[in-house]
Amino acid sequence: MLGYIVRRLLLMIPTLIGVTAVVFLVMAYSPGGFGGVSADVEGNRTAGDEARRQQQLLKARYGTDLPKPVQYMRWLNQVSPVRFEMSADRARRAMLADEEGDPELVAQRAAAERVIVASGLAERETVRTQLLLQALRLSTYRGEPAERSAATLVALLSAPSEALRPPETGPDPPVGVARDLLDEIGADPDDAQRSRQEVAEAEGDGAKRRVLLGEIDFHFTGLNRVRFDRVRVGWPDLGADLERRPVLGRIGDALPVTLLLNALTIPLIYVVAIVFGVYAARGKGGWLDTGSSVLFLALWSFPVIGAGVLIVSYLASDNYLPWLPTAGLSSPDAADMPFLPRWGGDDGFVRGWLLDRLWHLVGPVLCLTYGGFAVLTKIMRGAVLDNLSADFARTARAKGVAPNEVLWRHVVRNSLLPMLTIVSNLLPALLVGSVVVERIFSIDGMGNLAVEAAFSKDRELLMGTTLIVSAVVLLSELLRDLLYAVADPRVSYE
Amino acid sequence: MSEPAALRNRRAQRVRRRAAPRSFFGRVGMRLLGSWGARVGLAWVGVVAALAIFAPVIASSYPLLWREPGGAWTSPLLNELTPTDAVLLWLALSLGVTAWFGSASRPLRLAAALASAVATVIPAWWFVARRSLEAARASGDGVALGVVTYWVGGAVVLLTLVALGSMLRRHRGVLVASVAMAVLGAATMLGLRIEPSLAPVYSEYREAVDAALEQQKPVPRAVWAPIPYSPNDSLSDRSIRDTLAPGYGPTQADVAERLVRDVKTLTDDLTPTTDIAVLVRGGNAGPTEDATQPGHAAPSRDEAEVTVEEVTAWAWARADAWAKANPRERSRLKRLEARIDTLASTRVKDRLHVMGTTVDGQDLASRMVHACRIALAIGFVATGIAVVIGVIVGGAMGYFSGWVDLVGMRLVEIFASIPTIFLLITIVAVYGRDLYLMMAVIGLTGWIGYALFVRAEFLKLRKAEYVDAARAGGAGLWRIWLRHMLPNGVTPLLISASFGVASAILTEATLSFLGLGLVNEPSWGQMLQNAREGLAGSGAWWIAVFPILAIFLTVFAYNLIGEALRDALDPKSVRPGG
Repeated sequence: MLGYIVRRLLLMIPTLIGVTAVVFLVMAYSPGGFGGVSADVEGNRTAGDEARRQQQLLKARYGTDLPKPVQYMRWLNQVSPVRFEMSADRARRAMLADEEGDPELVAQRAAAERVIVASGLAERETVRTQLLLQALRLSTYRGEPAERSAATLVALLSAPSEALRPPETGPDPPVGVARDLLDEIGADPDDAQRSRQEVAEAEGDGAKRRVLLGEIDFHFTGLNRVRFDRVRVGWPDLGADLERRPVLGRIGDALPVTLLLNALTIPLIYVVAIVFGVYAARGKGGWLDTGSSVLFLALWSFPVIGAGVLIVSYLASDNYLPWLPTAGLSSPDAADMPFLPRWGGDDGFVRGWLLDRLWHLVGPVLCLTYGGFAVLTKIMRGAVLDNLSADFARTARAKGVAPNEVLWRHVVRNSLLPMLTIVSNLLPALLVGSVVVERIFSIDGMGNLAVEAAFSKDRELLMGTTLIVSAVVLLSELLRDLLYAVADPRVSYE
Repeated sequence: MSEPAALRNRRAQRVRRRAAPRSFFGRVGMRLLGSWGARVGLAWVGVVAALAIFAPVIASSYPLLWREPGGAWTSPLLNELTPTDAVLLWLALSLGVTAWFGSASRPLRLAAALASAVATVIPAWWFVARRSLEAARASGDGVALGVVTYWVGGAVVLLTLVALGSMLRRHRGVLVASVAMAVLGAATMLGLRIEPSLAPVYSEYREAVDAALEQQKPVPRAVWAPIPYSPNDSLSDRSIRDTLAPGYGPTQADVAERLVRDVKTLTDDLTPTTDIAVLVRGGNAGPTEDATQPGHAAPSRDEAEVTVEEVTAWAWARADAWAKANPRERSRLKRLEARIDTLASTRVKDRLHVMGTTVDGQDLASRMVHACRIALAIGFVATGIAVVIGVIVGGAMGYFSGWVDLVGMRLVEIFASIPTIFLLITIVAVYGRDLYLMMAVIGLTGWIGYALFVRAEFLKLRKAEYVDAARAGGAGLWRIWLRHMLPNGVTPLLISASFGVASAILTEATLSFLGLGLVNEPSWGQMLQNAREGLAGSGAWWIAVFPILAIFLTVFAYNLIGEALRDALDPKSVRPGG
């Protein structure tokens, strides 16, 4: 069994690579590419300084000037648990060198720090840290001692702005290095000069300086050089979205919400489907059979968007019936509530966090649930019908077991097997539903995140959500197969 | 009219054949029509299709026939048809003619159908090619597209003609008749010189009638479409147009409500209006702060029944009071007076909006009718694309087996675990709003189910003796697939295509609802998206309920057909005598 699980997990890797490749290439070859501000819907390039600046940032950050497949390979390398080190990783490691106890790195860092402190540019600690990180990054990128990179950086930041223009005569060494660096960064000389000027003007202003340094940092991330001589093993790095929030953290916030919705929805659908399936099969052709099948087919056909709009505007509106909350997953003051509902005390009945959350979940779960009855009930009904005429049921009846006992203890339990196979079909369908439901009820789940990513053409966010959602779908398929083996002793994967 | 003996003989033969056991599909069709679900579903789809085809004639702001006093009859509506409208209308008409041949022989019917196809293709190609050539010349960078359209379209026309000729070599009379029909149709359509205006003025003809009435001149004679409003006509010539309830409008209450609302906005009165009657009749007492208890709804507007005169009097009093208080704001006072004037002179209940109007003042019924097109087109085209890809990929997997199957299965696995809706949203958000793109994308992401069905069938059939025989006989790959294997494995495809159409319609509605649909053309999902604003503001239920009903009924119809097909094709469910 363990071997089977491992094999299945390994088989997921090519599938996940294929999924992400499709999404990545669709985005990358689209008019405007990633970071959609550079082109509008018709593909017209928007003019102006801001657009050019944005494009340069993207180029530096994602390496948009590289061939698209190479871009994808770099993303893959960044996400893969076993990956080639990128220069930024090494810089990060160098920052933490004390903890890792790499004497060479510690020495390099100390040397760089000395240079920076000696320059007097970084009297505040935060600025010093930033500068140090830049120096380490630069050193790993160019493969030179950190000390030299720190000197370059210091020279760059303290150089008079006119010195950064391409000179006619040969410049003195540090300024020359600084210009080379700017060339390497790929920054437009005018742009670069402006930001240097700002650095110079902000000499005494720590906060402003930090912002500017952050900008330089932005330039450097794209220069992440893949170092094929160093292989690292670590957690997948999903990167940061366009507003520089870590994608993993955002997914970590959103995924539990969507999973919670689905975890409530799936059992509800199953209970209803099993009960109605069994009774419909028992009275085949009767009013319950026909009625439930028509009703569920109608519910299946009812658009979720319609149901959502109707619920929000009629059941959650002050003008009609204010029974349900309008939006979100908890009330604004939910954080101050006790967990469980409480009676008595000064203010009578207190709803409590749990009840509040459940109250907010009624609408979304209702919207997700009703469409699923039809298919599952039909499968359950068919399975029960098959099993009712099976040999074992006839034997049970022949030896005098009560009809109800035959139905519930023998037939129903055997009919549950085909229901298991449908779980994995249900999950993608529910994900589709949750995009709409999360949109209507303003819930910050995976659906909303994906819509946001698609609208803002945010590469890391989009790829991250796609990867995680596909992984969840694949894992649920694996879980289904395992459950199948557990439930049916005849199934074996050995 | 005396029938030739040969024809009579053939008819007798056909009667005899009808009594004999039918083909497999014939039996399935009979069984399908036997279930009431399929009948209801097919009937509704037929209604939607009819509405979709005849939409421009059913709902348009342009009169079908129009005559200025002393002038000749013209047809503004026909002039405003787009090439698509014209082609669809002509197709429907000529298919109607074909149906009229219903009792004729099979080649005759085939010829009539082909003729109508030719008659449709020629003008369609002409319009599209001419337009794209013109556009290419105008813009300069689309020359290639124009040329391609011209030549590819021309090739299609030529091929259709060749097919027609070769099929009808034996029936020369029929050939002459159908070519004549085709030429006649094409000539008529070209003669119509269909040139829709680029910036249509929807109110043109309404205003002409109104002006004539006002000046007491002879009124132009007009025959209007059943719904005399175009889908994008936002009734800009009317003082009250937004969110009118279904029925004859605007009512007294509508006028009163807008008067109160506009006067309040223009005089910076921010107090909420709870009851117009109390406000107007209570004089200057101001709005009563009646705390509406939850569950105790405010009295409806009909109970209060304030007349327009009453409200107008109140409005003038308010305006005077405000003018005294703010003597400097002359321009705003002028606007206020103009607004009260227009609203007070509104003719009450002078027009019929069967389903009310939207927030932007467009007639909802007209939009509903025109939206049928997108629903129908999306359903069929997207599913068609998905089925074709599914048959090709699944067929290759099942037929060749081996490594093709292995690679294909990985492909299927990849597409099965991509969250389709994410991919759809991404592509549509990135590549822009376009109906054809949406169809293509829905099709491109939905073929997995079909591919798996076809693969399973082909895996079973590839070793069948008749397939071996066909291969030994030297039949080509396509011939083996399409003529020998596919017909034997097509039944599960039919069922799931029927459900596929339903889900394509739902997908389009969902995308439109997320704001990714078309902008200019109405679709049910897009109307539902607009409905959220209407519902939040003024409780205009009709804006949401009608599109929801339309989506629901259409999807339900396709699902009913699918279920009925499944029952009809399921050997286990055949009832005795069924």
